[in-house]
Amino acid sequence: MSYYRSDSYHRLSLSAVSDFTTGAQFVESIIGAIKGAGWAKQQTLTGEVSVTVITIVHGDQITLDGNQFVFWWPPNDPPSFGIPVEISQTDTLAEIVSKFGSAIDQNMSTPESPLTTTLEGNTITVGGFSLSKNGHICSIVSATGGTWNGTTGVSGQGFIHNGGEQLLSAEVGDQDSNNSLILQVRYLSLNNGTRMLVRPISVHDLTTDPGFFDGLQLTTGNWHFAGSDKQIAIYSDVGGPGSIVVVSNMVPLVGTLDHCQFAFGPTRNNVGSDGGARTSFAGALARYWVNVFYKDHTSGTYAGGIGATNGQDPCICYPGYARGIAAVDKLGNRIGGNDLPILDENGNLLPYEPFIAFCKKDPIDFPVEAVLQIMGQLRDAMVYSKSAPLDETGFIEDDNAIVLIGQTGSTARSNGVLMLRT
Amino acid sequence: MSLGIGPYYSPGPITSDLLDAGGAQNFLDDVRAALENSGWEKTSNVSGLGGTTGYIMRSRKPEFGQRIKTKFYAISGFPNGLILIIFSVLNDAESLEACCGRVMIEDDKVQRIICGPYQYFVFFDFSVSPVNTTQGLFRNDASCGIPVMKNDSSCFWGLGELNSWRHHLSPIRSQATDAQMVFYLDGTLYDSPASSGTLVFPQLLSLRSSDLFRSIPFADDTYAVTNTLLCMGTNSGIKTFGIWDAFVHGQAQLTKVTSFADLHPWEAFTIQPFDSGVEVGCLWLANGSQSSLRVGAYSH
Repeated sequence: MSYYRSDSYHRLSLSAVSDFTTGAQFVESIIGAIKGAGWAKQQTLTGEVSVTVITIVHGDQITLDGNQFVFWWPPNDPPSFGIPVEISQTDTLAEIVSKFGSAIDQNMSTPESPLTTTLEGNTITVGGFSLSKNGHICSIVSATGGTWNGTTGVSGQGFIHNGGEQLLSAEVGDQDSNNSLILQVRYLSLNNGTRMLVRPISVHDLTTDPGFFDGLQLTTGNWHFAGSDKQIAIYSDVGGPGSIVVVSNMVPLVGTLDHCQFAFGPTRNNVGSDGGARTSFAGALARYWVNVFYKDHTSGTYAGGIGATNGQDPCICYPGYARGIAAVDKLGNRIGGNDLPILDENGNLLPYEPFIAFCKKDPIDFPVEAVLQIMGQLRDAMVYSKSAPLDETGFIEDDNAIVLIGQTGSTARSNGVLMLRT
Repeated sequence: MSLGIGPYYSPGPITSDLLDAGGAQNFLDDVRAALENSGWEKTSNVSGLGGTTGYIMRSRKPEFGQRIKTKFYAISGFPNGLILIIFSVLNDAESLEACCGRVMIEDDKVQRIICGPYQYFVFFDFSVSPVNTTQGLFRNDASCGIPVMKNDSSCFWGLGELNSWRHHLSPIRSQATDAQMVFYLDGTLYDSPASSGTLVFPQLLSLRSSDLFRSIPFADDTYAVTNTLLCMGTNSGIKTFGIWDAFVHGQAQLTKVTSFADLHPWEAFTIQPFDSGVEVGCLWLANGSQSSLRVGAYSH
């Protein structure tokens, strides 16, 4: 194994000041970079708006892609502005949605760009926006009398799934299974900022994969892309939650495993982002998605967050001095209270393969069978047993590299960095 | 670490012999014969208990690094009157010396040695000795060697008794009387000091995870095989080397296990698999040199 170097490598840096001012511009640049790294476009993704409604009453407004819908009921007069949507005080949500959908259809749908309006629970979803240039389906979503977000009941937290593209990685090795990795890239408009959404999908299950990384915060920092036709990394130099997403069709390791696809990054919340921090392995891998496919064609997909009760958290593996089971001994490169890097006799840091391990079985349901196992290796990267500032430059063999994830030692873990080829 | 490089092989020959530990002189002579078979040379005799003759022997020189010497001889003074064989590791000039293990002589006892031109391991093997001694774990291990190096500086290691790799991949100091941990690095000899709080004694690394502590297997439950990573130093500087004719495997072994791979015979050396209840791995030693190609065989 050792350093696994991709033949073709693509790199891009974007300044939040000079290179993009909107999420659409950013996503367009990133999609271009992913294609430049060798991924193939599968299809254009249409956008959708989800609105979670508690009630809609006379006078409420929803502005959708520049079209201002104003709800009213008699005996009030119809509104003198916008697109009036007549409802009744006794209408159910389903009836209101039906009327809203008709208004959308009459005013926004075209045969070339049909829209659909549906209701699940009390969430109205308007989907099917045809997009150009990773389009901008709504300039704003606003209303009164309702809330629209991913978390019911939190006022003012709206989101729009904007458009993007679905991309396909190169296959891994020469196995007989279809082992490409599908990636959806688009962005979200939120009332508290703009996020980029990267959704990895296994080619074996296009419908149920739960992987969603929609927490990349595009509002600050300079952004960077580095990747190949099998792995991409998108990261900002800010470093906190929401600053990194990595998606990899990993180097599969020995034995019964055919291939393993792994992604980690942030998810959004009402205030900011969860996970995807570059400041520790645990912080970076806090939200993850894993798709495992075995040579006998069995497979499994796992997603979750560190700290959840399922305990299937992925880990980066590397050697240590560790012995014992106390917290201080976990990968315990700590002697005399100090974290010690592992150096060769010339004082150079020894590199280790960035092996990724996790539990296939839920330790709660399978306390015996649930063991941590190495599923693959990240590409164009190595691990070192020393902490270093983010973005500090160095080398992996003859390639320029930077500190992508830096972890400072503590009683529970050791110093370590993940260096990524740039 | 790299899984692809494989073990660091010495030019050999590798010797695996039984040692008659039922008598001091027989034992001393057996150790000498085994080391000579692997290319060590006797440089002088050492007078020992009861007129026995111990030896100072000189290793061969690896491509990088300096020769070492070892001294082994019989002493008495043990509380129950038994004889002890003291093993020491010395620099080539014999200006530095440190104990690297002690072996107790008992009737009918058989020890084993696995050695090559740059290192040796003397240890107790329950599968060959008729004596299941109650002292078996305490005074049966002596080992030392020149690490695999990248330059010609002088460096050596020594571990014995409870702290040999027979018992732990990553030994820590236990009791002073039962623990020999020594290394010479950057001009300083670290000879089993009373406190090891600021020292990394010679130890071997195994693959773990960033948040857990067990040795981590691959997806099909096999464990990583790594070329040895031998670390030693102080908390202001630690360096990593290798040891010869060996690899570390992530799976622990409860008993002696043998195998054949890469044209070499191997045996599991670390057979105390659980360290504070945690499986950490096993050091495997080549117990023979590369097999000759069979008649008619050829290699690409």
